[in-house]
Amino acid sequence: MEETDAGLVRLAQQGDANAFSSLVERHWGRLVPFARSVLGDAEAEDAVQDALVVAWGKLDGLAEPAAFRGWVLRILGRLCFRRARFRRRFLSLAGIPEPSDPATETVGQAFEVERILRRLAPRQRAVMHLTVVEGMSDSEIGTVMGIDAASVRSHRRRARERLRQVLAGTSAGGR
Amino acid sequence: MDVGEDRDPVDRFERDLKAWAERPPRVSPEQAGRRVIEAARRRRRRGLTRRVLLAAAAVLAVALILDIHRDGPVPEESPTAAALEPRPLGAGEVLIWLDAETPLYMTFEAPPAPRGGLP
Repeated sequence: MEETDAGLVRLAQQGDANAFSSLVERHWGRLVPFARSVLGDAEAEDAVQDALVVAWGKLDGLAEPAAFRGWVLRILGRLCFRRARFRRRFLSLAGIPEPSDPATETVGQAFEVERILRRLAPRQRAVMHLTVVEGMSDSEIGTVMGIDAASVRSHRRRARERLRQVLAGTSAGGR
Repeated sequence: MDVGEDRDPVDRFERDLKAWAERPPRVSPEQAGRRVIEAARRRRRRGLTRRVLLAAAAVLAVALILDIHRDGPVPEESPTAAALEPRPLGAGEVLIWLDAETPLYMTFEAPPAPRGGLP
């Protein structure tokens, strides 16, 4: 029988590395897309790995084992925002690698999505991802991001306004 | 699919975003599991080494402080001590100490000898 998240967390809290590895395997495929939306393709998997290492170190502090997914998303979110802030402060946009791996992508589209996402603030990207891709409610998003539901709505409204401007510019032939 | 949705560029973008974000990661979940555990162990070892080094540095610092306090502060030899030895005074010379380190030598000249005889 397949172990639940809570069961695996309890085993991992007792030092069972295999249990934690199973948790990673189970959540990897949902965490990478989130990091991809906030940070872009190039950094996403590194960021998720770092977040999971941090999570493994802090696992004893997780009081509700069943809430593992939201808890890890929160750690990943904080790490992604920190990385995005660092990047904005110390790296020029030119220094950020372009979307890679053209062989496995329907390029134009992937490139476009990432390029347009970069025009949003990191928190707006996160809210858009959690809304559109994860289908989370405002209060769930608020819990992950450490903000209230009204702020989630405000981030989303501004993100959509910005997207509308950017997309209008894109379809008119500009950036 | 709703045709109205198709016309809205933001809705279209949201659909593209979902497809883009949900592409499978380059690293498989199994590989990721192994990598995370290895990285965590590496980090733990590094953390342990750092803690041992910090503890050693702290012990050394405490030992040094205790050693200094046990011996008491080493009196510092004044660089001018030799220079402050009063030299023998000459004729008409007077030595006044302005403070512990500042000697003032003064020489009083003998009054000039009277010239000629009485008027």
